[in-house]
Amino acid sequence: MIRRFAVTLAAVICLVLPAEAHRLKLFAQVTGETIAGYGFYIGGGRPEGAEILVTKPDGTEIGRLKTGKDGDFNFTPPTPGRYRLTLTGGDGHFASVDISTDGTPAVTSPAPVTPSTSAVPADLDARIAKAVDAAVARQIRPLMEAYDAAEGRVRFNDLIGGLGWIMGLAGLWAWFRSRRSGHGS
Amino acid sequence: MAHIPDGVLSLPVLAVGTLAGAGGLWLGVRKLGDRDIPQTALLAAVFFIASSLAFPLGPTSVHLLLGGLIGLVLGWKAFPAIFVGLLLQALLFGFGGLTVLGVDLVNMALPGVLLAMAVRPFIRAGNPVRSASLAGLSAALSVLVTAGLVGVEIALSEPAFAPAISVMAVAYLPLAIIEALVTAFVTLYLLKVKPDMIGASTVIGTTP
Repeated sequence: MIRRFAVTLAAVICLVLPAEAHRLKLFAQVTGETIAGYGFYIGGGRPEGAEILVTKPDGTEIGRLKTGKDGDFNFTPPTPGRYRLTLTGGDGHFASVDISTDGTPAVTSPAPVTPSTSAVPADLDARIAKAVDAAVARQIRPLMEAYDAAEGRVRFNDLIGGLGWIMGLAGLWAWFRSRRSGHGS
Repeated sequence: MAHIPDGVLSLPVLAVGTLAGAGGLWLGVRKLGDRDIPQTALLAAVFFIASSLAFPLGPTSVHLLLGGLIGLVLGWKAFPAIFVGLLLQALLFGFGGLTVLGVDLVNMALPGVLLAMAVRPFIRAGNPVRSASLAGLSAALSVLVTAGLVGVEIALSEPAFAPAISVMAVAYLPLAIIEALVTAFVTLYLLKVKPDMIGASTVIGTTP
């Protein structure tokens, strides 16, 4: 009976794999002063009409957005700065992301920008910087999307590892019980 | 679906949930006799796998919870089984927060345990169709109760999210139907090959 159950279980695993974790994620990117992105479920689906709460890092509410048909949104905060977006999936899922629109890093700190020493006017310099920012953002977007998706994937190894843990715990418990009640001595 | 992340629930909700979870766990471990260990571990494994794998369904993706089935087979021992599964999911995949573990445990285990308790007297190997439909019904209801619990907890902790929660029951409805079918078929199968695993398990298995 147990064996048949285990075989069925294994068949189900093989049938469902490669499946992915069930988690809501929020992808956001800054272009200029606008934050744009989308929410998505790893494993498929985009939350439509879900609410996004925009707050400052200290928790002050800035505004609320609704995601569009593909879970997408865009938002231009009143002043550049650091913001936290929290997406509520409506079925008990949450995802949040910290983002900064003023060039200061939201989480990690990459190398500081060296001040320009070129002879071109400051205005042109700023425009070039903006264009480069936009181009880089566009280019690395697929990479960041792939990274986000990969991060939440349920890996086969982890699943099998979890089953191993359960077996080990059962063994440990049985051993503990057998020592206490003096079986098998 | 019902894995709540860290930092969403307020302290009172967390405290009540953790206490209730610990209470259920204590009841379950007390009933866990020597002979129940393999069965409990097996169902912990079933829960761990089933609720880790999500499949796309319409605009969202769902995974099984199997609270009804586990409650029916294990009774209060569902608490230790689901606890182990949830702990591993939190550690390996980041599903649900570690601080929310007790609340998640109550959400997923308690409805199944109580509903199974209510339907178990009517489950007989001699009447498989009625038994299977009752088991399916209790599984579907336990999904909806789980959804309701999650919704109430989030609404209590964070009133700002309350409007978004109201659509939750609709999102869980397809899952309730799927769970009902899965549980009904498994019950039908178990009634044929090992009826004591469902009906008489609480009588035979609980030698403390």
